[in-house]
Amino acid sequence: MIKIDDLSVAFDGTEVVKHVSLELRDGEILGVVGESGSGKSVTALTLMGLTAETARLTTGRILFDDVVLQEAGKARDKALYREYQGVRMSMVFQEPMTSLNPTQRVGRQVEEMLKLHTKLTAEEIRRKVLETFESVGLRDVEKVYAGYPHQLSGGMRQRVMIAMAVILHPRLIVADEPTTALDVTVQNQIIELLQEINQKQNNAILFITHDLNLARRICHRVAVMKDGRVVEAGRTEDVFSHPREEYTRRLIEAVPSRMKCRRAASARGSAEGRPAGAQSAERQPAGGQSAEGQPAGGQGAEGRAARLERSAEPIVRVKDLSVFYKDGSNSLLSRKKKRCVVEGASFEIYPGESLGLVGESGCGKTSLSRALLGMNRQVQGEIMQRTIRPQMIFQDPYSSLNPAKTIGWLLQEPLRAAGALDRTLAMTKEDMEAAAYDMLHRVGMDDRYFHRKPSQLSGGQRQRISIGQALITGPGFIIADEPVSALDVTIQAQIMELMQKLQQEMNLSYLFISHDINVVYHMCDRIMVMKEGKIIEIGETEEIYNHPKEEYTKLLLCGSGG
Amino acid sequence: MKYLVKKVITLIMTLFLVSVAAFLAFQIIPGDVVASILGMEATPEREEQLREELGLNDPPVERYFNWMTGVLRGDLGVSYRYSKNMNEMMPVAELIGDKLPVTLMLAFVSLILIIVISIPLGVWWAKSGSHVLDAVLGVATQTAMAVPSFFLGILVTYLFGIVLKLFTPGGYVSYREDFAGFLGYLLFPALSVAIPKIAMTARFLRNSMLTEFGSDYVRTAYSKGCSRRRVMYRHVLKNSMMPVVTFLGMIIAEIVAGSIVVEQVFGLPGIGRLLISSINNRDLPVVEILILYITFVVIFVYFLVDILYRVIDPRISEV
Repeated sequence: MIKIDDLSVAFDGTEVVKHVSLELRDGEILGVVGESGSGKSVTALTLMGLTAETARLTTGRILFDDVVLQEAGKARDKALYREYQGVRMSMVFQEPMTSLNPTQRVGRQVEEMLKLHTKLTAEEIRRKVLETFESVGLRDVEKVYAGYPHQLSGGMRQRVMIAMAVILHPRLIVADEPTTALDVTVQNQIIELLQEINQKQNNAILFITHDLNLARRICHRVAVMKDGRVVEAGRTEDVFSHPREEYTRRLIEAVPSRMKCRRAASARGSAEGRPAGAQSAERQPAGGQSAEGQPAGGQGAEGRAARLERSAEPIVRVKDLSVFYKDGSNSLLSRKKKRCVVEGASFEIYPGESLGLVGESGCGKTSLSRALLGMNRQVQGEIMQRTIRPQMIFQDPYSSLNPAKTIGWLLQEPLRAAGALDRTLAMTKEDMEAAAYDMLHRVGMDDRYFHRKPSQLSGGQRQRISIGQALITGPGFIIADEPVSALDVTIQAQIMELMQKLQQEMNLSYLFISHDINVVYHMCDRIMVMKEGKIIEIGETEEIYNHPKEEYTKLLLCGSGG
Repeated sequence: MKYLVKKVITLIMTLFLVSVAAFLAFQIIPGDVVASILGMEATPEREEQLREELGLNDPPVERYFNWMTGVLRGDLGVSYRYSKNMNEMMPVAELIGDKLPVTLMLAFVSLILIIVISIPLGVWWAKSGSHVLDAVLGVATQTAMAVPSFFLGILVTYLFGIVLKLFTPGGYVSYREDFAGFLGYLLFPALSVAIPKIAMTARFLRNSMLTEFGSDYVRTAYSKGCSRRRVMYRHVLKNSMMPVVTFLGMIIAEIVAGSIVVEQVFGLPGIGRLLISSINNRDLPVVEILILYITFVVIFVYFLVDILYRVIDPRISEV
């Protein structure tokens, strides 16, 4: 049905998509996987006729049922495209938060599809929209219809987007990372919905994702893209079990998949039955091995084994901690209401241990970490820390570093701050500079970067600097808030490896916050599950994975699709 | 409702603070009012008599209190400078009441011009995408924004008054005599007020629309098969009005408070001119009331802008 033939797309003379050929048949789900910048989104947008005016087709063409939609050397025929957009092909975007017009009622936005392409009466249109809302699993359809986008949750918005995409029964749906911005349990529902639509209406789906597990789960065929080219394509199982290309293999290996970890765990499992002494002897070498920087992959389960020294005093002890937020704006008239966002949390973190904290957005993960850092004073309960001020590694390495300063300055900043707070900690300029250089090496970067600005660094390099900043004052305890979720898989693996290496060298404890259960599994010794402000389950990583007690934990686990 | 109450209380508190500040300021500023009123005729006895008459011998707190209760009852006091006739002093209310319609009408006509011209201009500009038009409008609006308003006033007078003879420079028709003639006369001063604001608003709207065009929801609209035109009017326009509304609010507050320069150039008997002459003459009761008026106007217009926000953008919580 769809044929993309030798397509190259250039922006201002630079080609970002190079000689890509893809074919898509009715009812088929084709996955396009690749890291950011691989050209997968541009390919999809070009297919939909949605690229900016500055984009040019340098070679190739796009065919829909043998009709040429676009061809190299010819300007895009917008009128022709409008006959296809919405009717025969539609798109679901990554960001449900911003992809709907914020000032228009949701119903009207979906109706627009019908108003543009059909001659139905107002009443028929309304009925059809409500029906479609129901079919994509929205409840309270009348309310959704009359509501504005901001009144809906992310999952509901994505359902609205899907309703909009399927309302005219197009033969092709392009889904560009439709679940990336959503919570795991919601992700799962959206994926099931897309699969269901695919089976019922037999429309083809071009599914773009960076998540290999996801692609493996739902796609009939996959194409792997790198630097604008398709490096490998074929039936999903063939590609995953017998990757022909080195890059594909690396991608698959970089994913912290539970299946691989399981293998490692069962290999280790034979040691479990032996006496305690023999056991620890068995584990020592495993730990040493991972410290040398073995390629990323299944070493998580082995690597953590050596660190479990539970006999020591906890480095952080939290007892019955509740965190509040003041509700409402500053007003003289209304009394401030306190809203409880974390309720009665109790846990301990031991030296050298990584404690994972998982839960969906809004469950109180961030509030808890802010309370531990002392950034929120509206707390009740007890926090005992046997270390100096804990430091934090933030999620977004792009916006959390001051773009106006050099890397060297940024690395020294925590030292300056500590010196200003406490005279006895003040260091000379030379000492600070030396410490910054030392830290630069520790996080795997060389002297050249000292005088550069964050904008000259890649995402992974920036995250290394964030880690360096957190470590430079020498705290024993680090809070890492989604430190790898903004990064590509291969970079993710490197950063996790770095964090593990530093943990061993400096005997660090991590509170590792993430929504990605596979990453947590890879990194953590114990896991804590939060839901609606409460810690509902806490235990050894293997325990939680293999025998989750709470229904919610099971839901989280299967949602991640490992 | 709660929102309204809150806003009204804020308004009252602000007015109170400003009134205290205005009152205090003129206690501190040197210069004797009485001497200035009497001028050459001043004798110690007459000064003392006038002081007593104006209540200037009372302690400041009492005087503030008397003044404020008067204002609240609608008695704005009397002007030190102007008199109705030989025996009667000019009440401030009457003095301002005479000038206010001029300023308000000037503001109103300017505002209509600004909205009617700048919004289509901005939309057209954003839509065109032509480099030539971009350059021309860029330079034109830049120039219009940069020219000082008195000079613009002179240019308008010259062009429309002397060359085209559409109005008589220096002439003025009172609204009491001929309202249509008054409006016709106001058109040209209003144009002088409006031209720089039109340029700014059009630029603002254009930039805002171009920014909105990069939004995700615009891409969604295109993916539905909307034409550029439809995307523009159905989706982008409303969303890009937010910053423009803020800006228009600032402009309205500014021109309703009196366009001092333009009133001066065109010889309009408005609030702006009254303010200047009152300050020069130490006509404190008039100045104080004008300060309160301007404060009120600014806050009230911002309040309206706030309401308008809520109408445009449902994300801001309902009134």
